[in-house]
Amino acid sequence: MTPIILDSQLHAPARLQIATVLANVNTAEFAKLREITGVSDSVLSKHLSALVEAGYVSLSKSALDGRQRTWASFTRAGRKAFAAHMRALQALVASAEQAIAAE
Amino acid sequence: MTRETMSPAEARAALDSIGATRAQIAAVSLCPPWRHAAFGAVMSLLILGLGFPLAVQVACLCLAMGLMVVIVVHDRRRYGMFINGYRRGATRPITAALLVAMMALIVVQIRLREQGVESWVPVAVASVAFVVAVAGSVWWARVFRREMGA
Repeated sequence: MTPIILDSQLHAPARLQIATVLANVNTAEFAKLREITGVSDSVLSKHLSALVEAGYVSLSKSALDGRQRTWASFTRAGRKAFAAHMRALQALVASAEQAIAAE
Repeated sequence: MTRETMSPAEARAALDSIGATRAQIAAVSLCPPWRHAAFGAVMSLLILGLGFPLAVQVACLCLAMGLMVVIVVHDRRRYGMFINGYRRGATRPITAALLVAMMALIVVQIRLREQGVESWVPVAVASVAFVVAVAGSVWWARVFRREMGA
């Protein structure tokens, strides 16, 4: 049986939410990620920094309406890691369902 | 990647959270009708220019690119995110079909220009491109929202 490996970088609920957004869009603004995750600016910054450090997210700054805004995108590694994490979560749930069915 | 322990119940909760986040993306990504029309205008301008001499082609190309910039800025401002049409997922076959249709219309437009047809003909071809692009955009948006669980 293949071991189920989860990604510790994507374990935190807010990081999973950030990863879900970035897996489905090309780029998302800091304020939109804060709105979706419901965390404070400083907490979101910490999560994004951790994901950048892991090589999963890249950040860029660009002006919109005369203000500098931070935009986040998934790197190729981030996209792959999120897909693998999803598969691991689905495998965990499936194995539990199989165990229940076998009882 | 490292190993993390998680119970099946926690894994189920994580998957539910992913589903909820995708539903949030679906909720904020509702396109107004003019946004589909703007995409149609970009495509039809690109095809319209090909039916005319070089000066008109360049003018149409510049207009189309300018409109494209307006669309990208609008999307970033309104949604706080930008979604590329070439993204992976259920929408990719629609993007491919739209590309094939546009390529076919480009070929038709160039052939007609070479035959020296009347000037209303390229406009008619561009009108077809507009309708096809708007329909493709509406279809793409619907499939995207469905994929997000809307």
